[in-house]
Amino acid sequence: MVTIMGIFQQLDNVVRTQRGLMEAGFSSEDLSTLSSVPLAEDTVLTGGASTRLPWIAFFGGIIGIIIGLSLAAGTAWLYPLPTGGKPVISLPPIGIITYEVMMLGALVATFFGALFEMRLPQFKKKAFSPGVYDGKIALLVRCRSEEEAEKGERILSQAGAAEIERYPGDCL
Amino acid sequence: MPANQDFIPETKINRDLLRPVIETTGRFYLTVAILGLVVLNGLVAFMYQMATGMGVAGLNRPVFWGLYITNFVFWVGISHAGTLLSAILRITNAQWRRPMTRAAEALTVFALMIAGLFPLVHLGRTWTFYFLIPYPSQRGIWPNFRSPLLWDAIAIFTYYVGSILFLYISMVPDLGLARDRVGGWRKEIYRVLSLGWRGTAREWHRVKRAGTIMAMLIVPVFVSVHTIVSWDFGMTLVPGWHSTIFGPYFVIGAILSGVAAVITLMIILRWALGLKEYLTLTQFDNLGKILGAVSLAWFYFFFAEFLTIWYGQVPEEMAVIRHRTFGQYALAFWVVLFCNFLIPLPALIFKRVRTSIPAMLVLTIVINVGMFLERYLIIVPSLARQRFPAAWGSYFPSWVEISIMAGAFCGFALMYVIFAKIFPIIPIWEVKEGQHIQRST
Repeated sequence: MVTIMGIFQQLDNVVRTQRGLMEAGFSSEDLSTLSSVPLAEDTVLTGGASTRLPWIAFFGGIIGIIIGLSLAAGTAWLYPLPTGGKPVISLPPIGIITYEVMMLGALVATFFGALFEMRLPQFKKKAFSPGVYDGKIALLVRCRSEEEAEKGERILSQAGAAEIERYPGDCL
Repeated sequence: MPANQDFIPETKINRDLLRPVIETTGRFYLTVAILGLVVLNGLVAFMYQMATGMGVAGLNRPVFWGLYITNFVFWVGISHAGTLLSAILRITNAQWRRPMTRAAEALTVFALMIAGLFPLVHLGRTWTFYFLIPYPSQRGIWPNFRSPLLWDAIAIFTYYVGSILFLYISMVPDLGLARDRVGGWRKEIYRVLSLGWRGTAREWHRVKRAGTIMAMLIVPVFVSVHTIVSWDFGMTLVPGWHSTIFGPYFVIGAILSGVAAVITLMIILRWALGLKEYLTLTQFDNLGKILGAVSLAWFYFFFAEFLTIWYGQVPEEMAVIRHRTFGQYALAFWVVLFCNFLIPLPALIFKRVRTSIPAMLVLTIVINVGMFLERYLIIVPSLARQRFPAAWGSYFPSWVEISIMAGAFCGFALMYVIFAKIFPIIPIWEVKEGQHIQRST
């Protein structure tokens, strides 16, 4: 398996080349882009647009509720501290603590969920060009055979890629 | 983004916005040295207080909450507008937000750090602070979650963690850029912090989605945090504090002081880092409009709180009101009214004022002086005039408290200066994205 990377100056070229690659038999799963800004989702492949992040945040919140309840109600129940005739397990404070820990759970889960879905941290060598930060756009193609790689390079070259690089293995 | 709609090449954006990170001037070292000295003085004062005891502070019967708690409330307030502004402007997709979001988010993080220090300083026996941490200890007891002080600790912790994650996730793409533009030991730091970011379609999609979700989550946290801080006061039966309106009144005050602080910081950054092309008059004009509206809202709550107490004529409450308005604290009271409403609102009506950098600098500093005094006025006169007239007293901060407070202000500035030196303070990718959107429309 190899990954080939074509560097383009214009987004239009990238969009056209992506279409060309897909018509030539490459799957959308094997294509990706590198850019200095988020590209419009209707113009390029988003690398799996469906995300579970809202659900991850939701379940993070549920876990937060359980921890919050355990902290505020569970500890009061396990270690009762009667004060001035007030109830040991008092609902308003439990609600406040549970709310805060729920939000904490949702925030933390969203953060780590996003990293998980982005497949970060990733410190192995992957296809990359620092020129991307100057406004160029890289189109990455994962090729499963030498023939596919040659076909991909030919398409990238014909589409006007300024540079084409080849990386051994799956560097998408 | 440039005001005249001229597009800046991406190479120039990279160069301009990474320059403060890459180049270090003598002015940076001088600033760090001066701020560091004041912080050191504050630390010495703090050590002196720990070694000698709380007697060196001006706190005495009946005023046991003074400058430390004033600072705590003030800094929690300052911290609020940063993430709030960034979150709300992100959710509403306000394009002009782009160059200022990170400066605002960083303000939140550092202001919260400073705010969190004051309850520890106020403890006196600071080394016992870990009693607040819920863990199964040898003492066999847990923190008492029925106490609003513990709600505070939990809420501020939530807000702090959320703000750091919110700041960090939107900074990862720029850390990737910095990684590829610097050398030496700093490259290694950026390499680790950027987590291997490359800017793939998947990464961009998720980072934007996570940013939106976190923005939506952090707004209710923001509201709850300052409401809970207000409940530290509202849950007591102290005249002047026991009020149902305290929650929203504190929140609106926090937004007023926070927005003013964001503007002050942006003006300083614009001048110190030469960011005129990015922090344009458009940002100041729009923030000025928000500030004017918040000033008006602040006055509404201020008046509503005052009027209901005055109309009720409850003797204990009126003793506090009289003490505040015509007694020992009368000057501070009228300064607060002028600083937070009577000066800013008429001034901010005019576009000429909103787009004048010197005028905005003066106005925002005036507002924060007013907000600090407002916090002081909420805390001290209420304690000085409690229900039993024979126990009335007064309070004046000692040199120890003033030194610690000066150290905190400079500590905040120091952390911010170092942050702006290490990380791009303007979100580079957001500025570029703004240009792309403008170009495509």
